[in-house]
Order: sequence, then C-alpha cells, then structure tokens
Amino acid sequence: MMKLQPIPALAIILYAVAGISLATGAANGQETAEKPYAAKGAQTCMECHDEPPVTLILHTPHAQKADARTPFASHDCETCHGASPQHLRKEEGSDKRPPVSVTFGVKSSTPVEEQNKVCLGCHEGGLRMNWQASAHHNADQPCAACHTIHATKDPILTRTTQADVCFTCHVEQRAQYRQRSRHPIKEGAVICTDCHNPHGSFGPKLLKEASLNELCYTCHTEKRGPFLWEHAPVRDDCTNCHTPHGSTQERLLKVRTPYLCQECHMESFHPSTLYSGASLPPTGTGERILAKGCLNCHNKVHGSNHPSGVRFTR
Amino acid sequence: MRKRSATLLQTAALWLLPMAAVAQEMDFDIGEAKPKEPKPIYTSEVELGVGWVSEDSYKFGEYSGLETKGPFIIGNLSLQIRDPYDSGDGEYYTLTGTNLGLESRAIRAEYGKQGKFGLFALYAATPKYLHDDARTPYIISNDGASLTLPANWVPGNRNTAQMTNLVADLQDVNIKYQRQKYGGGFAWLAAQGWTVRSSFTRENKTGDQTIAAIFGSTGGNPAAAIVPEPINYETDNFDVSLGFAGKKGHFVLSYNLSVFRDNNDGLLFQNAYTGSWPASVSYPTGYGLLGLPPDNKAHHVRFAGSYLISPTTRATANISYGHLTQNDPFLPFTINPGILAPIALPRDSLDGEIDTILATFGVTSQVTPKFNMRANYRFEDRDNNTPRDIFVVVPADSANQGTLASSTARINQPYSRKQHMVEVEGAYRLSGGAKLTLGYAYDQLERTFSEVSKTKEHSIKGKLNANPSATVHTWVSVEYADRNGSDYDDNIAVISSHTDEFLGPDPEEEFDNHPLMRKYFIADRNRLKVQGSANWLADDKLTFTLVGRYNDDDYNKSTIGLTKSRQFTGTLDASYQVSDAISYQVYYTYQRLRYDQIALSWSSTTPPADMVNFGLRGWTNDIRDKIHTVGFAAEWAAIEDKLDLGFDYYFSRAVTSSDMTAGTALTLAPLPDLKTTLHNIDVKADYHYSKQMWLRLRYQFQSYRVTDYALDGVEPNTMRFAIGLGNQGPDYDVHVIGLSTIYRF
Repeated sequence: MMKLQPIPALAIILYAVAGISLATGAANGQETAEKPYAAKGAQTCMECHDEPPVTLILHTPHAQKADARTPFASHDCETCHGASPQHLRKEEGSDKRPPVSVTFGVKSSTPVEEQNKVCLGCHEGGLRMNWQASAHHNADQPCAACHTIHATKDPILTRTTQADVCFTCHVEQRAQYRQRSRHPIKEGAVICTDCHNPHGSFGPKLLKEASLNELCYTCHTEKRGPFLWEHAPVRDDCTNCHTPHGSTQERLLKVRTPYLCQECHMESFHPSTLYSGASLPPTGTGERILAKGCLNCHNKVHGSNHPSGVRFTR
Repeated sequence: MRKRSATLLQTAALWLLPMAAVAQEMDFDIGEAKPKEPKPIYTSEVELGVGWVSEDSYKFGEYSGLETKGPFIIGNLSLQIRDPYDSGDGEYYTLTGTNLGLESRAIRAEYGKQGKFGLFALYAATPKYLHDDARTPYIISNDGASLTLPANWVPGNRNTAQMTNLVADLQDVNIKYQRQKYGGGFAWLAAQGWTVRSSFTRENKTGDQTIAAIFGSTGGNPAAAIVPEPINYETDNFDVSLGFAGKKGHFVLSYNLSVFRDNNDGLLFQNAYTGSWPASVSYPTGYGLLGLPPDNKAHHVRFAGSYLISPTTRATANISYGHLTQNDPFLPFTINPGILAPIALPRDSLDGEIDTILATFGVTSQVTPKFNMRANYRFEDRDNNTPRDIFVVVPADSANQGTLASSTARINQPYSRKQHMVEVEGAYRLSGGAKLTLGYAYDQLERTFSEVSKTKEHSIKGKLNANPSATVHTWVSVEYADRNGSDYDDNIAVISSHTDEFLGPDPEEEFDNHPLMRKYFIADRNRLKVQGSANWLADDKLTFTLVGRYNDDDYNKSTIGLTKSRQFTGTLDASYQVSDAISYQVYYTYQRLRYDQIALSWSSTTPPADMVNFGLRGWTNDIRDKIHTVGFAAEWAAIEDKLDLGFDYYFSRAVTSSDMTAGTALTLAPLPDLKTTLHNIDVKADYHYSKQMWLRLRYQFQSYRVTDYALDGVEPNTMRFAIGLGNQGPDYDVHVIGLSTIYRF
C-alpha cells in the first residue's frame, strides 16, 4: 500500500508547479493593440439597444462611472462585450449585423473561457480566487449561466430566488428539497450560498468553510462544544448521520432511529435488539421505536457536558 | 482607359473604404441621431396586501409563519436609489424587506458610495414550528427550565398505564422556536485594491424543542418523558478582514469570533415514575437535572490567497487556525439528595479546548491550450486538547455513585483528527468540443480513541464531456474509491474510557460493542460513483435534459453494521419556450436509496458460540426509500403589458420500507411502510392596471400526508415507560389566497 506523507506530497505539488511554470512560461501574455472602441461609448449602443433588459445595466453597479473599477469607467458596454466596430455595420447584402465581439451565456458563440476571462478580469479576487479549481469551472460553465447582469436584481443574488437558479442544474437537490425535512430555503432563511461558494472553495463540495463541521457550527453553535462527553461520529462529520438537502426522515436524518444508531451500536441487550413490527404496541412496549426512538432516552447525542452524561442521558 | 479607370477605382477604394467605415460608425453617433424618448425603468417597488390561510398547520408554516388559520399581511419592498450612472457620484441606498407581515420577515438596508465605502444593517427572523398538537402533564415554569407534576399526579411503576391521572392532567403545549438575527457592518476601499470589511451580528434563538427527561440507572430500567426543552440562546458573530486584489495576486486575511451563550444551565424535571431505584428517586421526591448546551467560543484566523505564477498557472493557499473553547461550570453529578455521591468532580469545569489547523495548497495550470491540470494538498488537524479526567458518574440521577473500580467510573475521550489529502486532476480537450478528465486522490485520516486509528482512501475518476452534435451536450463520469483502515480495535472505546481498576489485569478481554461490528464511517469501503447528463437543445425553444447519479458504497469487510449503501437518482427535465410570452417546464425525478445492515441480538448471557450464530440471533434490515418527484410550471403573458399568469405544481411521494429477516431465536413482524405525499399548487396572476401599479392575486394549495408508525396514534400513554407528547404526523390541506398591490417607481 502506498504511503504518502505531507512533506513528500508538498514536494510533488511544488515540483508540479515548477514544471508547469517552465512549460507555460512562454505562453500567452500578449497584450492586444489599441482597439477601435465606439467614440460615444454606451450612447452609441443605445441608439438601437434602448430597451430593457439591455438598459437595465445603467441601474446597476456595473455601470457606475464614478467607480473606477467598473466597466463603464472604461469603455462602457465594450469593456465587457469587446470593441465591436464590425457590429456597427450591416453585413453586405444583409440586414443583419455581425455580433459584438463577446456575447455571454450558455448559448453564446463566444467560448466559455473567453466569456469568463472578461468577468474574472475584475472579479478574480475575494470569493472567486479559487475559481480555476472549482467544479463549475471544470464543468465549463460561463458566469452568465448563473448571473444575470442586465437586471436591477440578479436572481441568483436575491435570497428568495437564488435556489431556483441553482435548481435548474442541481435537479437532485430540487427533489430533495421537496422531502419531509429540509432547511428553510424556500423562505430565503438559508440559501445555497450560505453553505456553498459556487466560485470555488478550499473545502469539499464547494463548501464555504474549509471543513464541513465548521460550516454547520456557524448556525448550530450550540452543537460546537467541545463537550465533556463527545460522540465520535458527530465530532467526525455531521453528514455521517444527516443529509443536508432534504430527507424522507425527520431532522434530516439519513435513516431513522433505532436503525441509524444500530449501524454503529451493537452492544448487548437493547442496543442489539431487533426492533420490528413486533416491537410496536400492543405486542411491544414501543419506547425504542416510537416517537424519538433511541432519543426517547439518549437525548444528548450531539454531546453532553453534564458530568453524568456519558450515556447521553443528561 | 479601362485599366486606368480600374486603377483609379482601386486607389479610390483604398481611401474610401475606411472613410465609409468611419461614416457608418458616425451614423451611430448620438450627436447626429435624433434623441429618443427614454423608456421608464423602475428599480423600486412596494407590495402591500392581505392574505388568508384556511387551516392551522405547524408543518405548513414551519419556516414561513403561516401556521395559523386566518388573515395575514403581505408586505414586501425593494427600494434602490442610485446616482445616475454618469453623474460622477456613486452614492446608493437600498432597502429590502421580505415577508414583513410574517414571522419570517427580513430587512436589509445598505448605504454607500460605490468604489469608496458601503454600510449595511440587517434584521432577519426565522420561525421553526414543530408541534401544535403536543400535550404534557408537566407544569412548565415561566422560563421553561423547571418542570413539575400536578398535585394529583399518580405515578406508574415504570408503566404509563398505571398513571391514572395522566390523560386528565395533559395540557396543550406548542413546540416552536424562533431565530432573530440583527447586526451590521461595513466595507471600506482603503486604497486601490485594498478592502477592509467588518461585521457584527447577534442572533437570539428562543422557544422550545423536545427532549427526553429520563430516570434509570441502566438500559434495563429506563423511565422517560418527552418534554419541552427551553431554548434561550444568544450567538454573537464578529468578522473583520483585509483583502487585497492585485493584477497577479489576491489575498484575504480575516479574523472571526463566535460566542455562544445559553441563558439556561439545565432543565429541572420531576420524576413521573416509581421504579427499581433508591426510593428518593421515585415520585414525588425524585428530580433530575438535564444539562443544556454550554456556552462556548470559537476564534478563527484565516488567510486565503492566490498568485498568478505565470500567465497560465495560478497557485492558491488557504491557511486557517481555530481555537474553540468551552469552560461552562459543571452541573453536579446529581441533584438528588437521596443519592450517595461522595466522589467529587475532578474539576469545576471542562477547560475544553480544540485547536484546529487547516491548510490547503493548490495549483491550477493551462499547460497547453488543450491540457489543463490542477493539484491540491489539504492538511487538517483537529487537536482536542481538553484534559482527561475520571468522572464517577451517577446514571440519570438514579443510582448511588460507584467506585473508581466500577463501570460508571468513566474517562472522557476528547477526539482528535488529522487529515492529509492530495488530489491531482488533468483535463484534455479532444476534437469536437469533447474533453477527457482524469483524476486521482489520496485521503488519509488519523483519529484518536477510534476503532480505526488510520484510514487511507485511494480514488480514481474519469469524466468525458462530449458533444455528439451542435445541439447535444453530454458528460459521464466514473469514480472508484477504495478505503482501507488499520486493524479494527473493537474494544478501544471500553479500554480508553474506563479506569485501570475496572479493567483489571487483562483489559483486552473487555468489550462493549459486538466485536464484529464495523462502524460505517471508519469501516473499509469500496465506493463506485457513476454520474452523467445529456442535454438536447431540440431547437431554440425546446430543451430536454437527462441527469443521473448512482452511488454504491460497499462495506466489504463489515460482518455486522451497515454493509451496503446505494443511491440512484434520475431526472428528466424538459422546458419549452414557446415565445417571449409563454414558457413551460416539466420534470420528473426518481430516487432510490438503499441501506443494508446486518446485526446480531445478544446479551451478557448469550453463549459465545451464539455470538456468531446468525441463523439463531442474527437479523438484517434492508431499508429502501423510493421517492417520486414531479413538477410542472408555466408562465404566460396572457395580455401583453396587462396580465401575466404563472402556474407551478409539484408532487412528491416517498415510501420508506424495511425488509427484515431474523434468526430463529428472534421475533419478527413486518414493519409498516413510512409514506409521505405532498401536492403543491401555486397560481399567480399579475394585472398591470398601469405601468407603475400592479394587482397581484396569489393562490396556493398544499396537501400533505404522512403515514408514520412512530407517530400515528401514539398517545402520551402509548409507550410503556416513556410518556410521549402525542404529536401526530402532518396531515393537512391548506389553501392560501392573497391579494396585493404592487407599486413600482
């Protein structure tokens, strides 16, 4: 079995970095020459594109000329859409105009990489600094697949509409969300980006925090501990027992108790007892299968700080 | 002549073509064009109206606050005031309010000067309605932290059937809680590329949830009551960060402090039972004290950065240090003065400390125009430095304290964990827009006080994106992972948590869990994951999408425990954009989840040979979830600029079944299926009686049925030695209608 320790692992990565850097040193890097932008900037564009949704951009932060960072502080529409003198002329023998140099969206003829390069030209820092390692980047998703720039409110940046945008691709989560227990997503109290950073994160599953439990503790602070009596799978990983996007069981559990507990606990007497239909009243007494199951007694499964709470009953 | 003319024409053309181009662009010069009437754009709107809910249901309104039959106020607003884009000043104000008439209301206000600074303040409330049909015989104190029984209480000898006044003493109790969060913060662009951000929020969580209040010294003599547990929490969260964004590098350095406080230390409750424990434990003298979540603090310092090493290669790093503490004063071993507890607590409080270090280093590179790769290394150390001590526990306030040589002399186990993970992935673009991605990952986890001290997992994956035609986009990925651990030390939990005096000269002979149990989260496992998607743009208007995922976890060395876990999900989605005015969407998702477990029922008197006799004492349980989800949505601009209609329907049906087998010594009867059925219809009509004024009519119907043997017909006295709350599974048909006016400006 291969043994991989941290220092050799780091060495591998550094070696890879060095090799890659050498291999790519000569690539790219050519600045384009001065481009023929429209003399009147956005006013030229709006000679034709004078209706929403195009003009909605004027009411968004992207268009604010007073902010030197924005597209409109440079070449207005063409900062993003590229210098497009060809678009100002009709094709010979046609009423159509060639498209602008850069268009956005999943149906755009502009390659995704080129589209995203425009956005990342300004937005590469902060939450997006790990974009190149993200699942959405690897899936060749353009920024405009999710973001609507020509809108006074981008649906994906609005708490009550964000999930609908995410669900257009994440259809399994859309179905889970309809199940018996769920987070308050529809109500906008918990939204996808409260937990995930779709632009690339340093944790698993595009989680905002670098570890899953740290993320859960941001809202469930009472479960953070540390406790005197810890429950190993709880401290290990919340998703050992819970499934966060929705469950057919209460409390987002993968499987209900007692069977969930019995996947680890097979101690003598009642932990290993078979609880079947025979355990239900009137043939059975019911307290280990009805209501809260094992939690009818073991009430502090997330950890107890009571000196007598070793069995999670205090 | 003709030649000369041609030459002249060519020469002229060389001059005229660019001039023509200039002239054409000049045609678009706004200065030479007729000024147009700008179309009005409204960026702000206010919605005000009333609605009506047809039926009480905590489940329907569990997060929204629409839990009660009757009227409610519809109130939403969105105000956006920005300086004109070309005004030279970037001042802005925004005010957003949602669900203002409900308990799920949220308000956020922002003010700033774009490119200079921004301020925000927020308030958000979220209710959680749990049970509106719960009943308890307990008298609840005003702060909820003390539960006593009525004077006429008749206890039962670990038997609710003997509690002859139980039904008469029941009183309704609503189980619900609410989060209310408020705070604010700022962002300041200190200099070009440099941003300072800070925020502070406080969240109050108050109300009740449910918890078991139990007496009994062993698993053989428990006597419980499900009771309301008071929630009176307060969490403060403070963030400050410094960010830099340059041409080649970016970083964010941040500090976060989270402070949790519980305004209750414990929940005092009176014993409703008599039983085989010291007389003082029984009703009426017996009282128990449950520990409630202790106050805690967490500090985190984080650095995240990326740097462009070359035009095509980027390196990233994330380093985080966390310090979690908890030092709430301990409650006593027992509050029952009739219980002998001469051995004192080893300390007054835990002095609990967990230090976390998390570091990830990554590199991504576009090695060639067709080939890119990424590599990532992750190190996480969760070092639980909480001191270990011997606590001679008093089980559930119900037995005299043992000695240091007893099984109740226990040592705490502060679990620590250390992870090393390496991932490498390369993607190569093939012809025709196809892409092949191959990856490898190694994940090593070390845990303390764990049956498996070290697990190692190797995984490989491949993904192929292919576009068979211009209108069909597909991808399929396959991942296989093999997790192996060090030898399974089945009695480490016993040995590490008991005293030497108890364990005696041969501690390795001690065991608690069945020696053949393999806990699934550390057990050896083979994982196969297959996923795929096909998207077909049938034409500009019609799109079909097929998505599937299959995950098979095989715990191939587990004799007892979870042996298999499989999930399949398939979705067919179709959307049809008939025109700008009409669109339809329909989808169907099928999910099948399966969990197979093998177990063996045993006791301390089970002969060793029968400990592995599955034909006699073994049992299996194959749990299957089958879930169907269907949805249909339509949007229709029925009358242009006058009437917009929307329709949304979804249906979800889940059935959980248990397929059990049992050895000959065990009694088995089928377990009823769990069923959940949900229908939801939303209809919306927006009538624009002017460009600025809309009338909105909304109607929602939701039907929800749960068939759950653990709740249906389970009354407070159904269980023999647990007093229930009597709460039933959700079962409702709710209609909601709302009429509101929207004013846009």
